[in-house]
Amino acid sequence: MRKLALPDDVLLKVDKAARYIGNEVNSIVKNPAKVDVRIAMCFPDVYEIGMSHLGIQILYEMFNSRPDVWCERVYSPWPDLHKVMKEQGIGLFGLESQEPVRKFDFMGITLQYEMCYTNMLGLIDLAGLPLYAKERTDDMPLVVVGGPCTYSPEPIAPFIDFFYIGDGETVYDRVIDLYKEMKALGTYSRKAFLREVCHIPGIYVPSLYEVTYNSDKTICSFEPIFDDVPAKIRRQVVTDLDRAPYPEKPVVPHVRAIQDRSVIEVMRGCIRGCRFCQAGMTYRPNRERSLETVEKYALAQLKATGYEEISLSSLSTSDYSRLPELIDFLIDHCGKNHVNISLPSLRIDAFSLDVMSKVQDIRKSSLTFAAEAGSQRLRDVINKGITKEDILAGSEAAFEGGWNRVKLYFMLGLPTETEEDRRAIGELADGIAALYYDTVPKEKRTGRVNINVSTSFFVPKPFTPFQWYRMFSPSEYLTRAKCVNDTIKSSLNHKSITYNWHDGDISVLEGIFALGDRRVAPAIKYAYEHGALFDAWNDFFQPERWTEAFAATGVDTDFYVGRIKPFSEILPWDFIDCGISRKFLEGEWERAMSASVTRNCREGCSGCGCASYSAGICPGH
Amino acid sequence: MTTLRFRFAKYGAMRYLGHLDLLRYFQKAVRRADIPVAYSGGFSPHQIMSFAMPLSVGLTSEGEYFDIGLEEPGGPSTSAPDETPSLSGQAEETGNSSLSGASPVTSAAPLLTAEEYRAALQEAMVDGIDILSAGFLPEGGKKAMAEVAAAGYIIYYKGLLPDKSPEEISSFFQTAEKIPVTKKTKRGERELDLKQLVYRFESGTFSEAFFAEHPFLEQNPDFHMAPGEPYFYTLVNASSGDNVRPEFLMQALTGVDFEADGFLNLGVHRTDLYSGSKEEGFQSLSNCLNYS
Repeated sequence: MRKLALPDDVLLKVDKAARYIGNEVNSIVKNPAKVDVRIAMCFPDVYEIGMSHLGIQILYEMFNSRPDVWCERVYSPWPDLHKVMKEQGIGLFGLESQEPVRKFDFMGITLQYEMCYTNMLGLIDLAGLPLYAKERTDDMPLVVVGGPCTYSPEPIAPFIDFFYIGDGETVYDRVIDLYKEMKALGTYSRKAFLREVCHIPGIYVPSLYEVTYNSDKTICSFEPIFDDVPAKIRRQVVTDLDRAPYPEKPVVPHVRAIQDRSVIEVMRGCIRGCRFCQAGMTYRPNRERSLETVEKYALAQLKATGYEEISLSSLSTSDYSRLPELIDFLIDHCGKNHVNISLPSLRIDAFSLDVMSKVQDIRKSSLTFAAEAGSQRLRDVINKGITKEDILAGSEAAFEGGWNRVKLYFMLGLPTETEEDRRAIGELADGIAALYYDTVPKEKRTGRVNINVSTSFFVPKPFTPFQWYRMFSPSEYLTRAKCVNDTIKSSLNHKSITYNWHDGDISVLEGIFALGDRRVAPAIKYAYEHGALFDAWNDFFQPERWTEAFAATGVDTDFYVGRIKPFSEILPWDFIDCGISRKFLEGEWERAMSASVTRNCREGCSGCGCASYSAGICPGH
Repeated sequence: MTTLRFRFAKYGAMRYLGHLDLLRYFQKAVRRADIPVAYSGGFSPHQIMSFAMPLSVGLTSEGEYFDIGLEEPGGPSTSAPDETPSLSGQAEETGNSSLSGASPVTSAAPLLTAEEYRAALQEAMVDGIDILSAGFLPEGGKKAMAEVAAAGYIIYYKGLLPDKSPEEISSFFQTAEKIPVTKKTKRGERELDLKQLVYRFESGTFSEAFFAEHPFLEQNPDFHMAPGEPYFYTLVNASSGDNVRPEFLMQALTGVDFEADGFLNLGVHRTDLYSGSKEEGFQSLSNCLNYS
């Protein structure tokens, strides 16, 4: 019997002890004596969130398919256990072996959102490693980071040994082979390995670059220290998803995860070019899995897990070209086998309404429109290809079909936004409510229509046409939310509309991490050392702690988020070549300013630069 | 509908899995094992599955039970739609109301033998759960949850040792006329007499033979479980109204405030669940089953 890392009295004291015992269905246990490389794959958030993350399941499958590698999973201990581990000196451990991560070769951390940075430090700290990479010694695991946050790596660069930029399925084998070879030859040292690994495409070793600054705080130069270190890091892309690894036997969580279901990724990348959306840019080109492959994995996963629900994953599932056939297949297979089909938010049209009525309980489900902006002008600015007519026609059809709940998502703080645009949010919601009462006769109504409006605050992200744009103060954001609220409250159908808005403090902090450079790192360290943890959780997030951290470490946050930057300025992420050309982004910014829309990839190529990957929807390969 | 009852052991790392997570674990396991479990009707059908009695997190057991309804051979499971759909997913998950929600169907011949179903389910297990036996409930048999009247437990010390010797503790139980305790419930406090609700209580000492008899009782070197160290065996009321927690019993008998540290100092292992009554005798929940 495996010995658990945590003693019995600790397991009985902490909340949801089953998060920490490993031993899940389909988890992989190997003989440590028979593997050469041990990897701790970490997700810096709680088990229930991390176990829902598809990327880790893919990499877990990929790494463990190598007989010489054992990859285990690690999630952030909940604050109750974090405290106990610190107090009792219990080291972070891999769930499978229950052995200390400190003994492993690699500590891989996926960063899916900026607000988990303090949790990332928590993992490094609990593992027994110094927070700053330069203080680590040769006997410690190498800390490698991947995921969407690597497109803005600088604020966390001093903590990380190396970054992996792009799809994880491409060059990790080369990284591991290099490590094994250096170990076998006896040439391994931390320093020597990092110097070598930087030659593998997609790998960024921050310690091999030097940054200088101008007196106005802007970056003067960002250069490799040695001639052979690449000046540009090219994002890695899987060109054929059908041949890429994908789990047939995903690990089934013990504790109910956010995604308590089988998830099949149908495609990667998005054909839409929404100008605010980082994922829409950095996952290009749009690549589909074939229908046959998707069906094969769906059947295999359901059999190997026993899940009673299956879902499809992609940035925009409505755009999957084989969706009608796939849905038919799923309805046919799942209907016979008591498996529910959970559809992600599809674009609302006759097809999706028909599908939804077949697989969901209309009484319980709601329609979702990610309109993002209230007015047509502003939707054109952000290139959100949805019109008021689309929304109203979709709503009308849905109301006729029996739905009476609608969710509307918007952003506040978008470039060129005026008070008129903010009021348009309330007016659109009111218009949809009015449409319900016009469409559905009194005798067929089951109570009031329920329109749920949510706004978040726009955070400019690297590698989007809005990367030069600014943010506003939390109080300015609240004023804008109040404008929406006032419009809704004074509308005719205000009793049918509820309005929620996000916290401005968290959005601004997210912006500082997304747009910051290396000089932000000490503030993150300070905040962690002064108790910040689980910042993505409202219950734990304390804005004062961050205000104090920036003040104590001399970080001028307005420099990063409070000004519109000129095209001429060197941005902290400019050294990454993510496939999208600078010319395209600048052109898109100009088109945004004139509210001109850009066609999507299926309508025709707009020359973003990603055709250089010769994959997916891009022409000419 | 044919009802199939499984007896299982819970031990090792899985002792830390909570009851709701265990339900989800078995719902998936039954599907992986390709057991033709019946589903309720209604818009969100759920498996006809019910557990005899939850086991607290941290306890081990060799006497856990759950029942499932089997789909009729030759046709998909059909039963009357739920008249009162559960309001929350949680309530549906437990499947507690499932047996009563199903329409009575005359028993048809099962597809496999009970032992074949047991072996299939065992194949789908992880370390820490073992399917010990399976059997069909005879026609008219009550579901496990409704049947449970008593539970057997082995109790041992983890860290702290009480001043009273094991002999003193058990003789106190034998000689006391009344053992009054206050039970805190959701509705307030209630006075109970443990003498009426505890049917057996005796002490013994661990030995290799004893561990061989109870393979799922793990010998943890951190606890007082070496051969020669004391244990207690008790048979207590486990009905829904008067259920006795062995930890509270030990507290009453020893006078030690085990509750102060959240009962971390007591180890508890459930040996079996019983139907019947004090007057007419108790039988293991596995006794009434047909194994063919």
